[in-house]
Amino acid sequence: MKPVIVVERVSKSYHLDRTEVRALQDLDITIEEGEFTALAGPSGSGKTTLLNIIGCIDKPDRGRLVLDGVDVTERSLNSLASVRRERLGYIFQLFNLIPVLTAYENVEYPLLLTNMPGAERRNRVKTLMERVGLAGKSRHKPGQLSGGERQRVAIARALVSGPAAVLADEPTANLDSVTSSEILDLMQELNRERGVVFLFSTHDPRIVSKARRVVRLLDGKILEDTAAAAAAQAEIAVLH
Amino acid sequence: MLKLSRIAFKNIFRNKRRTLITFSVIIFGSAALLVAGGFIRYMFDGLAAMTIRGGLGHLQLVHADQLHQEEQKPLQYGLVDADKIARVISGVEGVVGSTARVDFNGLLSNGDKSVIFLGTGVEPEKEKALGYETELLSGASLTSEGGRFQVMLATGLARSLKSNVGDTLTLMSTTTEGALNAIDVAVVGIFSTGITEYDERAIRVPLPVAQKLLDTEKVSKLVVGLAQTSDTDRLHDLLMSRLSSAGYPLEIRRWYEMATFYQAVVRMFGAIFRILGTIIFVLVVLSSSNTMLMAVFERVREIGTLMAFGTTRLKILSIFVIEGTFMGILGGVLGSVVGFFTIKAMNRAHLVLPTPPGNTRPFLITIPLVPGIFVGVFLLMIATMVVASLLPAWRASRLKIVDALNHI
Repeated sequence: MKPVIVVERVSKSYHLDRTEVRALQDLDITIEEGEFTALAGPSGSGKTTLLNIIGCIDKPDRGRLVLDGVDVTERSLNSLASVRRERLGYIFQLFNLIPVLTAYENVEYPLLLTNMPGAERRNRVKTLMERVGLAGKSRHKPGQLSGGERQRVAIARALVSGPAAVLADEPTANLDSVTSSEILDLMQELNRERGVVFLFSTHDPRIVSKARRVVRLLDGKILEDTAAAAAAQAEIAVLH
Repeated sequence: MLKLSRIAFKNIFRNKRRTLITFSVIIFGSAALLVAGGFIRYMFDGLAAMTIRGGLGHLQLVHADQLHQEEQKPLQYGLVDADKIARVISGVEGVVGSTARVDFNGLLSNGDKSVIFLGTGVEPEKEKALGYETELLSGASLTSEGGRFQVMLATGLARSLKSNVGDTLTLMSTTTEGALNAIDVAVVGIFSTGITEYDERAIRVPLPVAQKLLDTEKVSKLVVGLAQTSDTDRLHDLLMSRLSSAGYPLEIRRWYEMATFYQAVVRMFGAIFRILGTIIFVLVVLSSSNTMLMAVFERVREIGTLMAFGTTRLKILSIFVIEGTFMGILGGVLGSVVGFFTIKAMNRAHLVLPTPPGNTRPFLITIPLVPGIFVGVFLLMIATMVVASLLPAWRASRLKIVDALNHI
C-alpha cells in the first residue's frame, strides 16, 4: 500500500508561561492509502497537535513529514497553502462553516481557489451534496442547518477537492450520540467508496470502536497502535 | 478575484448595525464634501463672473511696454490704433466684442471739497452690449449722445461730495503732455461696484470726455468679451498670433491673471476645501478602520478556516480590501444621493449669508450640482475605504492558522 502520511521522529513543545509542555515526543507514524484511523487519547495527549502538524497548519520543532509523496518538512506554512488546498481536507469540531455562504457555496469554496472549470466544479459540488444527503438544502445558510447537517456540509467540503487525506479533529464532539454514529458511518462509507484516508481524533470509545486502526496517544507518545500490533501478531504467526 | 469578491460582498451585510454605522460616516462625509465643494465652486464661478462683468472682461489688450515700463506721463504706452485692432479681432469666432477704455485719475471737486478719484473712460453702448454694466443706484447710465459732459459717481464718492444726479462737478487731471486740465461734468447717475473701497473713489465718464481731459486720442486698453469663459486660454493664444501677424506688438492679459482678489479667494478656499477633505478622510478612515478591525476579530476562526483550506495570506488580505472597496462604492453612491438631495433642499430653502467683508450686499447661497465634484468625492470615498481596510486586512492576513482555529 502507498503511504499517504509519513511522520518521522516529530517533536513539538509549547511554552505556557514559563513551563514547557512537550506535546509530541519523537513520534513516528505512517498512514497508508485507504486507512480509516482514529487518534485516541485523553485531553493533552497530543492528538490535535499531531493533526495540526499533519494538516500543515502548524510546524513541528523537529522531525520529518511527507504528505502524499511530498516532503513538506522545510516549507513555510504560507507556501504550504497549495498542499492544504490540493492534498488535504479538514473537518472541525465546531464545523467552521462560513456563515455568509450557503451550504452549496461552503462546499464549493475550496474549488474556487483552484482553476477548475465552472461546469466540473458545479458537478462535483452537486454530486457531493447529494452524497451527504443535503441536495435539498443547498441554498440553506449554516445557521439554518442542524449540527449533523452542518457536519455533513463540512464533510462534503473536505472531500470536494479530491484530497489524499481528510483530517478531522473531534468531528463528533458537538453532536448527540445518534448523529455522531451517523456521521461516523458516512465517513466510513466515503472512505471505502473513494479510498481517501480519514484520520480523526476522538476520545469517545463508541467512535473509537468503529475505526479500523486506532492509535492511542499519551503525553505526546504513541501508547498503542492497533495496526502495529496486528502487524506484529502477523509476523509472529509467520515465524511459527 | 471575482470569487473573493462574492465573499467580500456578502460580508458587508453580515453585521447590519456596524455596516450602517460605517455607511453613515461615509454618507455624512460625502454629503459634507459635496455641499462644501459645490458652494466653493459657486463662489469661484460667481466671483469669476462678477470679476469679468465688473469690467475686467475676459481678455485685455495693452501696449507691450505698459506691462514692463513705468509710465512717466498719462497714456505714454496707450494704444493708438484701437479701432484698427478692434477690427482685427472682431471676426474671430468666440469673441463677442471689444471696447476701449481710458484709465485716469485726478481730483474731483464740487467747489467746496476736492477728492481723489480713479476714473474710467468707457464706450457706454459697447460696454452695455458686452454686459459690463455697473449696478445703477439712481439716475441713468452714461450715453454717447449726451449733450453735456457726463459723469457717473460711485456711491461712496457721491456721499463724500454730497452730490446727487443733476449736480455739476469739476474733473481735474494732467494731460499726456503734463499740463493741468479741468472740465465740468454733470452727474447723470450713482452706481455701486459692490466693493466698499472702490465705491469711495470710482467714477465713469464717456471715452471722449476722458480723452479730452487728458488731451489725447489714445486709449489705455481694449477689453475683449468672449462667449465662453472656458475659451479664455484658447482665444488668448489665437488673438496673440492674429495680432502679431497683423503687425501689432501687443500683450494680451487673461482675466484671471489680473484678478488678484479672485486668485486669493481661490487659493484660500481651495486650501480650506483640502483641509476639510483631509479631516473627513481621516475621520472616515479612523471610524471605518475601527469597525473593520472589529469584523476581523469576530471572524478570526473563519479566517483560520479559509487559510486551512489553502487560501493564501494575500487572498485573505484581498478579501478585506475588496470588502472595504465595496463599502466605499456603496457608501459613495449613497453619499452622492444624499448629497444631491441635500443640495436641492438647501437651494430650495433660499438660505442667505450675511454680507461678506468688503462687500455691500448679503449673499444668497446657491449650490450647483457639479458632476466633477461628485465623481471626485465618490473616488475619494473609495480610496478612503481602501486605506481604512488596509490595517484590518493586514492583521487578518498575519493570523497564525492554529491560533485562529482555536480562537473563541
